[in-house]
Amino acid sequence: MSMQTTDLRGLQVLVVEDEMIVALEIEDLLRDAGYEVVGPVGTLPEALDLARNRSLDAAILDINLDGQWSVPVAVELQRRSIPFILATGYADSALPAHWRDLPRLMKPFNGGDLAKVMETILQR
Amino acid sequence: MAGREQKTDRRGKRKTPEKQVARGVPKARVRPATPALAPLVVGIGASAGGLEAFRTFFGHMPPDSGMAFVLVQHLDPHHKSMLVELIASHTAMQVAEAKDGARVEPNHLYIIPPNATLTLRGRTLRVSKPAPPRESRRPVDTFFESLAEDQGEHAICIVLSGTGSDGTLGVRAIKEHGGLTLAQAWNHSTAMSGMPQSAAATGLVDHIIPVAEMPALLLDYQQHLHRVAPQKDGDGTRRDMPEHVAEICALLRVRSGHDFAGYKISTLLRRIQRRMQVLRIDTVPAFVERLNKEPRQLDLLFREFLISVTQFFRDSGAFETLETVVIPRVLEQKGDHDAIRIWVPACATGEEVYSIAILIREALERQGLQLKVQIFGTDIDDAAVTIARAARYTGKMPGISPQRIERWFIEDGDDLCPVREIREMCIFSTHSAIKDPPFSRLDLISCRNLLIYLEPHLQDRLMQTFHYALRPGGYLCLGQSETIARKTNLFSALDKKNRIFQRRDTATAAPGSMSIPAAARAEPPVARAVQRAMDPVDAEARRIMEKHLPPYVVIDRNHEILRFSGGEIGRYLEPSPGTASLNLLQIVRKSLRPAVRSVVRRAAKGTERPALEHATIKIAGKVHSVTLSAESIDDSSGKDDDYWIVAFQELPFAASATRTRAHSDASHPDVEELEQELQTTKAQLRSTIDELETSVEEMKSANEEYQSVNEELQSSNEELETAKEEMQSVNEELQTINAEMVSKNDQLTHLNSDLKNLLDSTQIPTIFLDSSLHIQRFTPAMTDLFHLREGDRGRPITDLAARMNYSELSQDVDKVLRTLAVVEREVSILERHLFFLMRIRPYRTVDNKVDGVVITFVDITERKHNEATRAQLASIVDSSQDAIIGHHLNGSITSWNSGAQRMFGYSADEIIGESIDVLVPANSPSEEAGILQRVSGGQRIEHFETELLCKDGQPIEVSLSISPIKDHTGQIIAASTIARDFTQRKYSEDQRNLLLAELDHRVKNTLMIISALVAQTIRHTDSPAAFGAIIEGRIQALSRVHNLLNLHDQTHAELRAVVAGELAAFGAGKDGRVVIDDGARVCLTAKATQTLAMAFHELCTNAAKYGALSTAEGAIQISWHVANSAHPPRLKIQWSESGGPPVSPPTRRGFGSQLIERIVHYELQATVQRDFLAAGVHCSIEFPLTDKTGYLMTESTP
Repeated sequence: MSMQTTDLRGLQVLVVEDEMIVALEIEDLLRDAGYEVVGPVGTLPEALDLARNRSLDAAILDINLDGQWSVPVAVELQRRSIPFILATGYADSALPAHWRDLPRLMKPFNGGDLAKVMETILQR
Repeated sequence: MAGREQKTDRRGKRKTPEKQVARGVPKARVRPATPALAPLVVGIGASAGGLEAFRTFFGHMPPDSGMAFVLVQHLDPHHKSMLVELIASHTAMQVAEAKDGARVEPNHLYIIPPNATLTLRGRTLRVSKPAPPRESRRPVDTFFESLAEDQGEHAICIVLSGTGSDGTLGVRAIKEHGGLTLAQAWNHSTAMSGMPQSAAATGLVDHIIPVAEMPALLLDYQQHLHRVAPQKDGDGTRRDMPEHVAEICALLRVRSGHDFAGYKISTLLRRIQRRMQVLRIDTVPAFVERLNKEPRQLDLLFREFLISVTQFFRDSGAFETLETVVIPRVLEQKGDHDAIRIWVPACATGEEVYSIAILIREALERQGLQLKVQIFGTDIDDAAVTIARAARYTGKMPGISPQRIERWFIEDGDDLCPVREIREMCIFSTHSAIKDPPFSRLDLISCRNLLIYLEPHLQDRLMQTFHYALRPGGYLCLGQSETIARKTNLFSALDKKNRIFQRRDTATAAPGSMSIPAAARAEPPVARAVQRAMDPVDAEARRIMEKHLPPYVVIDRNHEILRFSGGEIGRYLEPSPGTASLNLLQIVRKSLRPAVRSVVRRAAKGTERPALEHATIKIAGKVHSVTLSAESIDDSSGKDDDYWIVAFQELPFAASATRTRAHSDASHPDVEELEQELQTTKAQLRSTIDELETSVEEMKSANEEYQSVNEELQSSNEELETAKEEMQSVNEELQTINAEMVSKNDQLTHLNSDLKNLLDSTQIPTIFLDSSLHIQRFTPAMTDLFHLREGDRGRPITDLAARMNYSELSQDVDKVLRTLAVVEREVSILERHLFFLMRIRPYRTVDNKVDGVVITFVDITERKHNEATRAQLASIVDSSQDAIIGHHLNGSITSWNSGAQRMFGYSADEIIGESIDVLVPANSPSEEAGILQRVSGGQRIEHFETELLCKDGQPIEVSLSISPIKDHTGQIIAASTIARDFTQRKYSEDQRNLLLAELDHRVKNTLMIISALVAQTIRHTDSPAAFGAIIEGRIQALSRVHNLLNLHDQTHAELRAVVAGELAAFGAGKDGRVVIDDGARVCLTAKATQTLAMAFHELCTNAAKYGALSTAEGAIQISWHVANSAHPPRLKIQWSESGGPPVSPPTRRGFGSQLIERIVHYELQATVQRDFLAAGVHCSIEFPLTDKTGYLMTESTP
């Protein structure tokens, strides 16, 4: 566990979150954990651009970007086999079926929650 | 009886033994048939329920019975029949569908094919297709009739289960031809309703037994025929019978009072033999014993003797002649007040009587006459007379045209009854034409098919009776094979072919030959009246001169002697041996015959008056010379019937020529003396003789006087006799009419009590009023309701009207009487809270005259109540938002509420009667059918969600509740379907779920924000006390945002409210230090509101800590405007502090600064410029107004 923890440091993590206050907190949490933060970005075009073009190791993706579903970003990430976490306040039943099995972080979450899920996706 | 000759022929033919043996049946097992006995042919007729009966029958019938069976079943003409296969499995006999030309073999079973008529001719089946149209299709009757004619007493018919009356006429035919008749019983001996009952009602069915017992009976019957076959002669009648006939007749006479001794022996033999066959009694003595022991058998034999076939308009030719010739002639002679009198002896069940009545009525209508008509129908069979009186005839009546049925019959259930005007013309009575005195003064006698049963002497007697009964010129109709026999002097033929005769007016004929005991000769009363009026002197002179007149006879055209003169006519007559005759040429002396013939012929020519002829005859050895004279008698009545008088005048010369006289001379004295003495004696003698002669003369005269008196007495006696006969006839007629009246009276009494019971039992109050509104009659229910009493009869109805809230009663009654239309009103008896439907209809008498009104009161209190409840329910159903649909179990729609119309778009008019399937989409019919199945099984379907189709083809999501509807017996007869529009509900449900999910999301988002806010605040504060103040302020700012979102469903807020709200939180803006200069009204989205509120919160916090709000002099100016030139338009907000303590840029960028700069930029794509000028902080925020951020409100928008 400790070995793996050291391995994660310096990894590039994209943060897509439309709520700036939340984005700032995630950014701080990731940095505290040793990750390099890409973003954060709050709009779909920005997020898509980064998901396509930046070299990334992982991503935290808010499902709803000010009313827009962030599906294209997720598709892009899957295409590039970049592991990602869906951050959402939606209950399971409100999600599209094929998203329900993806690693998720239910809002509100704290630093511990985030670190655990990040480790999980990065070990796959 | 017309078929009698043919029958004999056939019987002869059948004596040749059957050559063919049935195929497929082992020869050894065939019952040895007596050569003289052909196999029995059994016709079996059935309709509904026949199959079961067939199965039972053949289940009990051995396959080698030796009989042949023909099944006639009512079949659907359009379907192939499975009957052959179905029955073949129940018998080992050969079963086949009947083929045209197939010969009927024993131990075979033939079945009628569908849509065909099956008959039998010469033991060969005849099949003709197609069958006649339904209304005249009677396959069983048709086959039975042909079977009867073809097989005679070898025919057996069985009427099995079935509805209707087919087979009934066939049973008659079988029975008439001597066959055996059976009908199915449902219990021990009661005929099954339908065909068997109809057949049994004729009284001609020999055995009414259950099907299972029939085969044994048939086998027994067949064995009986085998046993008695050797005793029969070639004609089929038993040789051992004739010796017992007299005994049987005597038994019958004692039992019934009717003597059949004068009936034709062959008929009697055959009928007795048939009874023996039915009873399966082998020997005649055994039968006689049975008759002695069981009087019922005598009655049955009596009925058997009287079997006759009759139907309406039988022998159409005869009826046509009646209609076209006889009836017009009869009517011609009638004055306005005359009556037409007709007699139908041996009328059986009355069909002929009614047929004649119809003809007469039609003729009267054609000629516009109103004559009284009496048709007497008589028969010795009281059972038949009862049927005739009842005047009910079943179903189909061959021979009578549909027009006549329509015009002259009324339907009563399955029966047809002659209309009243026909029925009233006919009078029926039990009466024997042979035994009882006849009717008199008749215009027509129709006696058909009675004479054929009688021996000649009875026939003669009947003819004389008829001659007496008919008025002069009256008509007599006989049956096809009957003649007036030897009585040509009584009747002349009018239509030889159709056996119609007219009475001859031969005065001598009728009276002397009357069969009534001691009936004496009588001349017509008129003729005698003339005689009696003659002067007595004339009479005396004629009497004296009579002996000088030549003897004579009066003859008619046929030389029949009508009158003899008195005197010596006997000298010229010489009765010849053999039958007694009054023919002059036969009884006149042989030697006179040529002369008589010649003189009559010449007289008939009419050239000589009189015609004379001389002849000589020898009487007692003496030759007499006779002059014959003949002359026709002019009849004053002008009838063209001629009479001649033939007189015999004897010439005197022949007598004198024979006379001889001897002459002698007297010589002797003694002689002289003796002569003298002789002279004296002679003189004395002469005087004595003279005296004697005188006294003889006197005696003669006295004698003649006595004779005259005697004659007068005789004459009055005759007159009395005639009067007595007439009285007898009148009496008979009166008795007949009386019997008819008694029968009618009985009927009326019955009807009356029926009516009384009906009125008593009916719960419907009914009242009968006359035209002037007086109470005539009322039912007991009326008594309870309106307190009517018997004494109220005859009182006016107006009292009654007062008890109801109904004052227009008399107007309404007037209206009914005037228009003859029924008036209906709803009335109530308020004091008893009862409602009635009052119906006033005209009271019509039987002859259709209107005489008052009938008022009925139907209690509709409950109905009223129900109607109100129903209306209430209907309005509930109708006002329901749900579609409520009533429909049959087959799906056809019966009710459709307005909810259904709204939901599906169909109006009630266009969909009622359609199938509910029109609502079901094409791809899911099976599901619906299954549901109806379950509902008809009593199940209730709840909330079945499915998709249905609207009229415009749009699918609609509905939730169905389907419940069975039961009738009062609990049987499910329909279903109700309630459909709730589910589309709307589902939509709202989705919407609600969506909202909940959104709410959930937002709450969690907000929590996340707060969580992040707390975490960030912790990161950037040093002391817990500072953290507490800061975090409280920030969270309150956030919560204020939610208060400000008051536009557009809590999704928007006004910029000014956001700014003012934040400032107010810091107590600013009240003392004029804060100026908000709103250059434009701007509306912000929730997100923009939150972001800007947080930004202003931080700005205010800083201003309160370090800036303009930290001192009393400081001021803040906030202004904004929208730059419309850009696209999208941009909002520019300025925050300028002044008058505060000197400002220096912050040394550390805290979270507050990040909120102001990064967040606004990040979330609103805003450019934020913060300058820490010496005069105070100046901050400008500029961002585009998009649908994500907000918009410029125009004046008209709120």
